[in-house]
Parts: sequence; structure tokens; C-alpha cells
Amino acid sequence: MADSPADKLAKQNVSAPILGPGHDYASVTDKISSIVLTHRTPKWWMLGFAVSFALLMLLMFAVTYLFALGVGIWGIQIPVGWGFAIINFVWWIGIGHAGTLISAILLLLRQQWRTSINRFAEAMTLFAVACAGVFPLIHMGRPWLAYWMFPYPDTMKMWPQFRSPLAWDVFAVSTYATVSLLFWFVGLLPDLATFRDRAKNRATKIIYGVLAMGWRGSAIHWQRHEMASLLLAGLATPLVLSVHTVVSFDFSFGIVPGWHSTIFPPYFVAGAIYAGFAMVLTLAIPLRKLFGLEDFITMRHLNNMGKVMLAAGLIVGYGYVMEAFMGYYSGNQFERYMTLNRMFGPYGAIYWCLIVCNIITPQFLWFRKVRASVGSLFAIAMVVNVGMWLERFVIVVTSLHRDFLPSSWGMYYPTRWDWATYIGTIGLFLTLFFLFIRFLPLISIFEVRQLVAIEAEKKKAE
Amino acid sequence: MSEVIRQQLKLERLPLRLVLIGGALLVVCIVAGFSDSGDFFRSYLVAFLFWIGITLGCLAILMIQHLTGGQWALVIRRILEAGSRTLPLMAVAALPLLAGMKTLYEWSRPGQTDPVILAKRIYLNAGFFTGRMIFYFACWFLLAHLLNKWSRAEDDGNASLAKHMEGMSGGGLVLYALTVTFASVDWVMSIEPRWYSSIYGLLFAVGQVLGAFALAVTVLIWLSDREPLSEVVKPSHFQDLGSFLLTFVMLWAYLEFSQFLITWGGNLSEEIPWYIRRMKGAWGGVGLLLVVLNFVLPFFLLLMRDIKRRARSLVVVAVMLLVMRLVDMYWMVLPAFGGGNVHLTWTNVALPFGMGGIWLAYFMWQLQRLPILPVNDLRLEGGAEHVVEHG
Repeated sequence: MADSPADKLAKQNVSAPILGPGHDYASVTDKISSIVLTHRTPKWWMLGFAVSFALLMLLMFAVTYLFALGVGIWGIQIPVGWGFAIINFVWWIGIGHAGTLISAILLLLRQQWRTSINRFAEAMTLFAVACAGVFPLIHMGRPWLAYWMFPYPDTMKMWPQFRSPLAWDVFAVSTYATVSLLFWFVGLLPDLATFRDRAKNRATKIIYGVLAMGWRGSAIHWQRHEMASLLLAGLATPLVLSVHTVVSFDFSFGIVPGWHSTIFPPYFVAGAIYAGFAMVLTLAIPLRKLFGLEDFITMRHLNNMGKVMLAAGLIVGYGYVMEAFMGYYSGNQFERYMTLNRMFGPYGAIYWCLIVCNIITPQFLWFRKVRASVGSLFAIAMVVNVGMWLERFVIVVTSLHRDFLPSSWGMYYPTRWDWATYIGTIGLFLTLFFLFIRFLPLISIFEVRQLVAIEAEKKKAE
Repeated sequence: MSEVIRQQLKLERLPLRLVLIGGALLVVCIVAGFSDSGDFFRSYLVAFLFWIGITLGCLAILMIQHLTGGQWALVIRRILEAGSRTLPLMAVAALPLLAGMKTLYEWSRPGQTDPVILAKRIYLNAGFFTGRMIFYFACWFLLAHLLNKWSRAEDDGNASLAKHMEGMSGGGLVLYALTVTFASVDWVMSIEPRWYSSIYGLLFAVGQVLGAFALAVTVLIWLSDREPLSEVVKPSHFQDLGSFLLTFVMLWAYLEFSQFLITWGGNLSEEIPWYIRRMKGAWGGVGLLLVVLNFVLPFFLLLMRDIKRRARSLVVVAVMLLVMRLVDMYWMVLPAFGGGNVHLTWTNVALPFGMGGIWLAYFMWQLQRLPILPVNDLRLEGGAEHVVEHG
């Protein structure tokens, strides 16, 4: 069978290398470090940063108003006491997972294609965790007492309830944030030293020099660096599973129909990876275009990420099927009502939107042509970002708003402050990300250089 | 070189002996079954679930390896294919379940009054149960047939078929996950028709893959000193296979623990009896045995590189895991039929082994029909020559 020209092109793209041709050590370092050190700040950066910063100010404003007046400014009520705050918390923390997966699990699996996307994916993890962390704190009503969540010897004899998954969450998320930060910083060290050595003025030299912590690139430095990276990857690997598993326990430990379901742990983890890869694609596609990084983030990367997204999306779809089927199969009237109410109740439209976004749309990723098209990948990733947010909305709200007693049913409507806080955290995320791409190497220089060496060896062998 | 690679396996009289032993055990069990049909069908269900699990697990790993590739896959591919070709045998073996439906499944008996069971009538009834069983086997037949057909054609030199197999495996895995899930609900979960758990199908599928991996590793190690496998199989293959075993051991434990913790945390009257029955008396001990021998011990053993690389130690872990799959089936099925104490009858033990004799003989017969290595797979060429040149 003869391939059409478009097919041929798609095939070439898909079997594209993980590094563009003609690169040597110097060109890699030049290309990536010039983004930070020699280029003038691009106009689109100024514009993007200004918009993001404005949104961050919106967050500041919303949170200040919240602290002054209390959580009554939000739409939460009885019976829906967990509204946007928890939806956004789960959404953000899920997004972070792809970074950890790429940097830790793919490192242990010796997948070389991770090399040029791991740095900014890890940064994405950190910033997403920061956004996620905001929500439980401000949801507390008295956030200045947040330290009560930690077990410490005090005169009040206050002690967290260790049988509650909410207490486990504190440890799971704070461990995750710590390990992710360490992993990211350790990975940055050699590149920070490169920046220190290449910096033109004294202030820049000092700042990067301090951050590089005396890295000289001696053999022993490299050996210890390698060891530390592997150990941190080993530590981070279980965290990919554990954080979202504990988040899923927040729901499934409750006996509310629609929350108490044994499939939740693997289904939440798959959802996190799904959302995370969608966000990595959302960031990677504009970045490679704007900075001209097509040689480093190649079609091979985009294609692979599309495949991972499809696989994770199918597991999520399996979760939906199981929830719906077990709703029926339980033979329990509350479970059955919850399932029907989710699909055809007052929030039914949101449920079907989520099915279209999360289940139907990604099916296009089965086609090689779709995975070879940057535009359609970006569009699908955006749809999945929305879909995963809707999924958390459906889980949180539809399960709470009608439980066992019809007399205590109610509706949940988010207020403008809910929206302002949510959009504000997007501002926080983007502000941090814009600063990151301006001041730090967004692709790991030393790891891409290793890739150059590997490619050269391969050529020699041929 | 290629002459050696093309060799087929010769097992002489071993399959015949297995058939005789297995057949004899089965006949004795059937005769005994006339006096206690309940005991017979319970044992039969355990045996069937264990062996269909191995068969389907082989099919699933086959599809995983077509999708992901890798050297580890080539050395066990023919073993997996032979395992998946035992499906006709297992389809015949499924028929007695239909005969024993009323003995095994409370919901299939007439005169139900329990509202929970009545509420599930549309799904749990004899006609639909049988129809679904036919559908599951039809799906599995289709997958196994195509993968085997293409793999054989590839031996004759049609290298483009690798793409076909890869293309079908993605959709095939989706089909596998769904059919195994519903089959596990039908065949096992519905023994206790008031209980439900949405993770159960996934847990079951992972158990099948784990069992099939353990069997494939055992068979590979058993055959690894014969030509042509002795030319190709290296410690690095064992290490990769050991790592896969470890992955599935962890995945199984993760899913099993999730189900347990959520059920324990909820403590609901429709869910918790399932665990109470399985933790009371001696069954609690069996559960603990599963935790230790299907997770804790293999986890630490498989972390160690030396154990994975040495065939003699890896085979011990694999056989242990295989035995634990059977123990898991006992633990899932038998406590449902009342009694906190383990009344392990000799039929309970003899029947899985009897069926196993027949299954293994059929499997070995299938294994001898094709070269033990997929000779024309592109990845093997480089791999095998590499071994011979530098090995």
C-alpha cells in the first residue's frame, strides 16, 4: 500500500530523533544559555508576564478580602462544604505529577527522550504544588493556625487525628514538595555553574555563583551528582503514586456515595498523570515555538507524550465505566441515585462535558497523524486540562449536594470570589513560570550534552 | 547460526505423562463429586480461575510486549503464545461452570426474595451470564488467533506483520481489561452477590499478569540450558524479567491494599463482611501468608540484582509467586461458602493440579509446534548475533 505524502511526512516526524541533527557540545550550551544570558527580554515575555502578574494581584486581592471577611464570601454551604478550594487543590496537585513521572520514573527506566523536557516539567511540578498548597490553607477559615496540622509537642495537647486521610495529606504533600524541590535544585547545579562561568557582569556572576554552590565539574562532583540524582529519583518514584493515592483517600474514606469507591486510588493517579502530561504539552508547544527549540523538543517528544496521555486517559475512562457500572451493580438505592443524579441531575451537563473532554477527545490520539500535528496535540491537551478540572468538580459537588437525606439536599454555586481565587492561582503559576524561563535554563544543558555524546557514539558504531 | 535458532523444542514423553497424571486426578475428583457436588464445583472454580488466569495473563503480556518491545520480550514470546493458544482448552473447561451454576451462585437459584439480589436481576441471570461468557471467549479467541497467526507468518519472512501486531495490541489491551473485569464480576464477585468493589476487575487482571509472568519465567529457566535458548538467554534477560515480576508484585499489593484500606475505613455493612469472612480464624492466617509471600518477601528478594540475574534463585521466587496465585484464588473463593475455618478438602487441592496436568500438557504440545524463538523478528537478529559474537 502506497503512503500518501501526508502519511510519509507523519512517519518521518514520528520517527524523528530526540535531538536535532548537527549539534555539538558548544552549540547546545550556546543555544540554551543564550535564552537567559545574552538575549534581550522578548516582547512576548513582557506581555505574558504583565498579564500573569496582574492575575497574581487578583489572587492577592481575593485572598486579602477572604482573610478579612471569612470563607462566607465563597459559594460553599452545607451540604456542599468542599467547593472550589478542594477542586482546585486536586486539579493543581494532579498537574504536578507529570513532572515527577518524567524526571524520576523515566530516569530509572533509562528513557532518553525525557532529557530535554524534564527541567521545565519539574519546574511545573513545583509551581503547581505551590498553587495547590494555597487552597487547603485558605479553606481553613483561620489559616494562621495552619501549623496545628503538624504533630508537635505543645501546651494545648493538640494532636492531629492520625486516622484521618486529611492528616496524611499534610505529610504526603509536604514530602512531595520537599523532594521535588531538592530533585530540581540538584539537577540545576551543573547548569547554574555554566551560567556563572558565562555571565558577563559581576552581579549575575555572584548570584549564579552562590546558587551553584561551588560546583567545579570535577570527576568527583559528577560522580556524587549522579548518585544523588539516582537516590532522589528512587525517593520520588513512590511519591508519584502516594500523593494522589492519599488525595483519593480524602474522598474514598468518607462513606458518601460517589466518594466511597475502591477504584479511586489507581483512578486518581492515572488522572493526575493524564492532567500532568496535558499541562506539559500545553507549556512545551508554545515554548519550543517561541524560543526556537524545535531541535531539542522534537516531534518524537510530542508524539511520546501524546501516547502517554492516551494511555492515562484510557485508565481514567476505565474508572468512569467502573463507577457507573458499580453504581448499578451495587443494588444500593443511594449509589444508584447518585450515579443517575450525576448524569441527569442538575449538574448533568457538566458530567457529559467531562465525558466529551476526557474520554471522546483523546481517542483522536490513536491516529499517528494527529500525534504528528502540533496544533491538534495542543488543542487536545487544552481540552484535557479543562476536562480534568470538570472531573474534580463533578466528584466533589455532585456527591455532596444530594446525599442520603432529601431534606438536606442543596445546590452549590461558585461566587465571583471563587473564580477570582481560581484564576488568581493560574496567575501565580504563570508568573512563576515566566520568571523561571527568563532566569534559569529551561532545558537541562548538561543532560542534552550527554545526549550529544551518546548520539556521536551511535554514529561511530554504525 | 540461523539453523540453531530455528530449532524446535522436543519434550519427548513429558506431555503424555502429565496428561495421564492430570487425567487420573480429574477422574478421581469427578467420581468423588457425585457424593459432594458442592465441594467439587467450588474446587473446580478455583482450578478454572487459576488456569484461565495464566492463559489470559499470557495473552495480556503478549500484547504489552508488542506495544513496548524490548529484548526481554523476545525470549518469552513463544512461551506466551503457546500459553494463549490453550484458550480452546479453557473454553471447554468453562462448560462445567454452567452446569454448576446453581451450586455456586446464589443469585441463579429460583425463589429469590432478597431485594438487593432482585435489584440486580437484569445483570445477574443465567441467560445473560452464559451469553456474556460466550462473548468474553469470542473476544479472547479473536485476539489470540490474530496474534498467533501473524507471529507464525512472521517466521516465514513477513517482517511487516510486527506493525500489525503492535497496532492491534493497544485496542486489544483495552478489550482485555474490560472483558476480564466483567468476567471477574460474573465468575467470582457474584458468588457473594451483596458485595461490590470497583477496583476488583483491575486487581484480578493484575493478578493474572503476575501469574503468567511467573509461569513464563519458570518455563524459560527450565528450558534455558537447551539449544537454541542457551545461545541467546543471558543474565540481563533474567534481570529484566525479574524487574517486571517486581513491578507487578508491587502493583498487585498496591491495588489489594487500596481495596482493603478503603473498605476498612468505610466499615459499611454491605462491604465489610467480605473481609470479615476472610480474616476470621484460619483464613486470616492465609491472608497474612499472602501479604508475606506474595508481597513482602518477593519484594525484597526481587530488589536484589544478584537474585534476579541468577536463574536458580529467580526460579524459586517465580514458583513461589505462582503458588501464591493459587492460594489467592482459594482465599478469594472458598471463604464465601461459609465457615471461618479452613476446611481444605483433598478435592480442593487435587483438582487444580489435575487441571494443571492437562493444561501443561496442552501448553507443551503447543510450545513444540513452532521454533522456540521468533526467528524473523527484526529485534532478534541484532540481539542474537550480538550474543553469539561477544558472548
